[in-house]
Amino acid sequence: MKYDVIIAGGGLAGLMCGIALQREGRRVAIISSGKSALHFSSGSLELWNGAGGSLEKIAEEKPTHPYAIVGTEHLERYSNLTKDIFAAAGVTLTGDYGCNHLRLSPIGAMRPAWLTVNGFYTVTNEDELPKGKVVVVGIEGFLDFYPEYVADGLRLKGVECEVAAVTLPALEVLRESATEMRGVNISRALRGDVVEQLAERVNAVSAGAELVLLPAVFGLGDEDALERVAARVSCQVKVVPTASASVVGVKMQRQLTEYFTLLGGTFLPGDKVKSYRVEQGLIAGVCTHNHGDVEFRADSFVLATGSFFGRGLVANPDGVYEPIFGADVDYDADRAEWCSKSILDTQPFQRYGVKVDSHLRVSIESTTIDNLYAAGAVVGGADAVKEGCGAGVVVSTALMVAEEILGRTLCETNVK
Amino acid sequence: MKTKYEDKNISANNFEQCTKCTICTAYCPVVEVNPLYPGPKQAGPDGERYRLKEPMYYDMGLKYCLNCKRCEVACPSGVRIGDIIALAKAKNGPKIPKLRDVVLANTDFVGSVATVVAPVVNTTLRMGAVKKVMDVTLGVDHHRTMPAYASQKFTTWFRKEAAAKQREFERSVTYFHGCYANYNYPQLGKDLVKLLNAIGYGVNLMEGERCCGVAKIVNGLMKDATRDAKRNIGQMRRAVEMGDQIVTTSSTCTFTLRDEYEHVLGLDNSDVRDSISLATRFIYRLVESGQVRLAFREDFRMRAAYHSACHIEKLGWSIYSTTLLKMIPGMELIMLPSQCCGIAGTYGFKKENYKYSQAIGRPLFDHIEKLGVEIVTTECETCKWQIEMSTSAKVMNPISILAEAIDVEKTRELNK
Ligand SMILES: Cc1cc2nc3c(=O)[nH]c(=O)nc-3n(C[C@H](O)[C@H](O)[C@H](O)COP(=O)(O)OP(=O)(O)OC[C@H]3O[C@@H](n4cnc5c(N)ncnc54)[C@H](O)[C@@H]3O)c2cc1C
Ligand code: SF4
Ligand code: SF4
Repeated sequence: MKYDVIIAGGGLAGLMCGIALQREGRRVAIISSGKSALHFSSGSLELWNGAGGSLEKIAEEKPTHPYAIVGTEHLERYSNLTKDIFAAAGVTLTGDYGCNHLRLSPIGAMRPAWLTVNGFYTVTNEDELPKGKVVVVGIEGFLDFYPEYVADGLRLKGVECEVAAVTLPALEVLRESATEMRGVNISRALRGDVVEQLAERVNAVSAGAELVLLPAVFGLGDEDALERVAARVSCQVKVVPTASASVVGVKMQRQLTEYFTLLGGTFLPGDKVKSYRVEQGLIAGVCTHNHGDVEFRADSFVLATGSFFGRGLVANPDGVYEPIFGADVDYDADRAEWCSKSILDTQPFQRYGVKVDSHLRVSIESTTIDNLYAAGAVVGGADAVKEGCGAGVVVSTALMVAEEILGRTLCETNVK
Repeated sequence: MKTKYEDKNISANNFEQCTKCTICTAYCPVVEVNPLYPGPKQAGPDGERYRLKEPMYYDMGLKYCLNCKRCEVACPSGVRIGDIIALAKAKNGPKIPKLRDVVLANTDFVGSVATVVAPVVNTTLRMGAVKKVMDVTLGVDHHRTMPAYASQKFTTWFRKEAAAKQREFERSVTYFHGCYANYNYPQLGKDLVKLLNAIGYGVNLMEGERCCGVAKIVNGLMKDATRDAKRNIGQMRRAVEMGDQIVTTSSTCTFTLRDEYEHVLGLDNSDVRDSISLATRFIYRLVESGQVRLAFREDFRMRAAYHSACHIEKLGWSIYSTTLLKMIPGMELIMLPSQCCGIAGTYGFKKENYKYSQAIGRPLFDHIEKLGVEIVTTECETCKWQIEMSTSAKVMNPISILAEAIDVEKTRELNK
């Protein structure tokens, strides 16, 4: 099988890079061994929360940080391209580069984010928090959303907050198997009349409220379920992220994958890149679990296999390694340094990842491979949790790799 | 760095690798329609922890699992959830299978009796009264159209009409026809012989081929399945020793011979596994490497929609059939979204599953009707029954389409 570009990993990084290249007429195959970290998405893409210092000074202060390699001057362009690609895939993102807004976390904390999917509760700053009453409405038996956490968080900020729970016959049946009372299943049940019934129940528990907050479980049944609930409820209605599997993440994964396929890309789900072949210092082809000795050949290869969660990186007592290519990885040799004792402290392992050069190319045994790039969470140097830069690092490295492969810049206007 | 630990700490079916992310539950077609099913995570790795302690924790809801393996395709941690469930059903499930399950599971025995009296069987199976009786006494849902039996088995036809001619070819392959091509639809086998002969390959059959055993495995008849599997492995070994590849036309047989023999029955098929291939994969490889060239009829026209059957999705092999089909000049091929049709072999025939089976397939049926295609193409025979019963489309195996589209004379010339 011969393609122009082969990407290992079909999460946000692989898809963004694949879509950008496919839109420019390259023939791309994405091979992905399972679903991605998108399934934990809060509905917000984070760029930089400021805790890691000033973004402007990153090149001096953290020269190995992915943003230092990408160049902060390109972030605005990549930000616009991201909105553009998401919109083409059917996901509307609000927010802009350069001005973070605040979004609510599932445990009621306000976190800075740069782009957020429509419908989620966001404010420009804490002064904008509601002066009137907020009702956080949960769904009885739903395992992945705790209204009290959200309410407590808001109360700490001085917001008057109540909690309530609603149920409906169509949701009660899901509790036959208590373990399956999950966002995805609730979301599928929210279609037809059930949507209006839910709105009525919400109205009944939210008299006098300025704002109702619901778990983000809309859109896998009727696409417009949230808008319809909002139209029927007498005050403002917004959603708050839930624990995994996140409905908005499931939708993003589906929409981006469908868009990539629609552009003519080949997406191979449930398959694992296992080995590679080098020819004259370049990667010539890779082999996978499903296809055995049928080799996938390409001119360029992209490693977008994510961090520890998706097994783009693996740790064992001897070290941290990248399992496909054995690419050079940046990590602390002393194992005692890997984690901090308190879960709330900065965790050094978050920064670990493959080493890249100024073109985001990967090296194996200290030799740079000219046609092997890395994008996304597999790239070392960033701490997504502490710096609040998860998606920002992912989309900027993914789009930069696309530009490196094309040999020119992508711009919004010349892509369809 | 990895061999030291990773090769040693992998538990059976990777069950300890589960990170409890719940991603699998979002992709299980049964969870979507049946609240009584505990879902892949609970039925698989979570339940397994309990069952290992005490078999009484076995949950009767496991019978609703389709064995479609879509959960495994989605799992980011490589947990073989479907295999865990299949093994638990065999080990801890009800020990005495129902008469109905035995009848449905013994596809080869029932088939060989039925072909002899095919006209009678076919008419009888279609009669309302008989269907009602089967419904009440056997628990085979009366809404089901039973698959028709051919009056002449494929093997009988082959012996009489084709076997002698096969010796004229220098190169050969061994065809594992499976029960469906043998008893229900010999035309598929004939189409494959036509196609392989056209590209210069003779066809051999195995001596005393047995059912691949999938129906026995899912109905808990493990002993019988193991006996058949051992015989098949022995026969495949002989074929491979003779220098033959083993080709198949059924996705489920392929998957069973390659993966279920090892993972579920615990048999060693490692020396033959890589030689077992879907016929479209076998042909694709010859075409890609330039060893074979195909010529198609100029007057051939078809608009067809490709359905990715669950086991093809698990094998990851749809790419071979679709690439070959797209080579046909007069072909317009539309890709259906990858989803389960609901039949899952013998599952949908059972009265207690009928309702769920149709609900699972509903979105697919609607999609097919909306496209208005006359032909749906898929490598799975039970999908064929389900889609033909539930839509107005006719279902063809890609091999049959290729056999219809190929210009035999020209192809022969090209491959002399
Ligand atoms: C729990 C969690 C929550 C997060 N929430 C947010 C958030 O709300 N906002 C935010 O901005 N950031 C968030 N992040 C940061 C996150 O890392 C990124 O946003 C992003 O999703 C990572 O994308 P990726 O494509 O690099 O990696 P992944 O999403 O991990 O995708 C990698 C893919 O590659 C596959 N793969 C691995 N090995 C192979 C192989 N050998 N062959 C083929 N395929 C392979 C994996 O199965 C996986 O599908 C979160 C991260 C985690 C872990
Ligand atoms: S997807 Fe895999 S890792 Fe996640 S809960 Fe299911 S089995 Fe466990
Ligand atoms: S094999 Fe299919 S039906 Fe069974 S748990 Fe997995 S996804 Fe669900």
